[in-house]
Amino acid sequence: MRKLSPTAMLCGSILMVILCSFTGRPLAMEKDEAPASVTIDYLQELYTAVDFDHQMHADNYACNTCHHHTTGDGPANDTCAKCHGDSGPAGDVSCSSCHDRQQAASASPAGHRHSDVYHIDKPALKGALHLQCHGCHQVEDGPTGCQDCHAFTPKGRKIFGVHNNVND
Amino acid sequence: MREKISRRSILKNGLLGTVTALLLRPKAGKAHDIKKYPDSMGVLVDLSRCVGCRSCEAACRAEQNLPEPDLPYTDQTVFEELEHGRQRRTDETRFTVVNRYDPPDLGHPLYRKVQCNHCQEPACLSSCFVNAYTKTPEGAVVYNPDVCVGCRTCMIACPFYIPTFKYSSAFSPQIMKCRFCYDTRLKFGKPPACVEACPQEALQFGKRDELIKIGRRRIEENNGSYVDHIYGEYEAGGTSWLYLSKVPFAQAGFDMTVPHAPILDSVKNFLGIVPMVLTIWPALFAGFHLLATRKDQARDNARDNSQEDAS
Repeated sequence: MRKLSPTAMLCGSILMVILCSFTGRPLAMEKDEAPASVTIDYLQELYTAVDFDHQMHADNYACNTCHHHTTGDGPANDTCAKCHGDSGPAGDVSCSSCHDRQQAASASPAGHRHSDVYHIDKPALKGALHLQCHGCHQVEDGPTGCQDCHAFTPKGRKIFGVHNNVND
Repeated sequence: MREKISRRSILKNGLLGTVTALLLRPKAGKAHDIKKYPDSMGVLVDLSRCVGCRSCEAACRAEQNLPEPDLPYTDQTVFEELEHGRQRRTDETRFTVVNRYDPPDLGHPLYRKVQCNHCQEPACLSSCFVNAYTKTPEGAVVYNPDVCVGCRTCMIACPFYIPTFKYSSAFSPQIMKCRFCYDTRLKFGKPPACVEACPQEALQFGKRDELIKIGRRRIEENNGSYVDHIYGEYEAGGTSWLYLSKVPFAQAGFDMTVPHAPILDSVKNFLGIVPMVLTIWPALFAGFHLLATRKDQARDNARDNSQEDAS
């Protein structure tokens, strides 16, 4: 292993002290770093893509309302706080970085990692988005009808037996 | 010398035999192990997550090539529909329906999806005398129309009123019910179409044993907001489809009188004595009849003889 020079070690230590004195823990992500809009387009079979107004939501709600603990604010949920109270910001805060696109056919922990053992009830991406959005919209009087957010594709219209454009 | 048998002794011995046979039949109410396929799959339904979008109904129709409904699946007026005073049920055109309930203390509607629960020990299967039903190792209760004679006993046996009869083709009898997408999905390890379509993950597919663990975890982690019960863990001997609810299950139309023992347990004692009744009783009562009428016949014969002598 290459040895670090005393000067480099000193500089590193000073930098860490400065950083930690600001926050006491790793730095939280700033709101203005967040995207203004997110296009949710991974499920375009029955519905067209949804343009999610991230800016409006970020302006009105705390990051941890939706992002649990990954933005570094500390989780709003007590159960999550048991482990993630100080876990700091994650490298990737997008929903799809944790919530898989496919619902797992087996919910059994694959190994013995804590993340597997404690996250046996983690919804897949579609479930996570709907539970989060629809659940909050019910409480906050946001739009809750399917077609309020989703426009049918021709296939969607066929599957749902919609033969006119009234319900678009 | 021929032993003399009196009428009284025949009656006495006959009755004694019947009573002994009744007493010696298999012990009533004896618990038995429920046959379980260890890796059978199931679906965990969280009623509190369902928003009544009917995506499951639409996906089921497409998957099973069922006829298109009169109203589109986006139409919410179906929740007001009552057929003979009760809510929508599965029938030959639909293997699953979502119904709406309005529990008094909830403040918002509650939706419940109805389909075959795929019992561990299905009553439909036990009741079928041509073995048209099979419980597959994957967990599905599937039906074979080729051997069905259309007796519809399964429809009466099912505690959840799920099998329905295809009245439109009465001459080639067919029971219509959810088959867990066995042929097209389950046997390839894929979740049924309704589960895949559910936006809210109100339906979760997995190994039944693991779903019970997940259900317990969800009950624990939500600080008492769920009813501490997984409907289907024990009901009717256990079902592959399991339910979680935040309001008492009875308020969402669940039948809480369904016994925890398999339905078969309620009828097997009765079914056990049927062969005995069929074999012993005809001989016994024919004997009674012959004995009762022997004297009359002897008297008639004697009268006929004396009349012949007189003439």
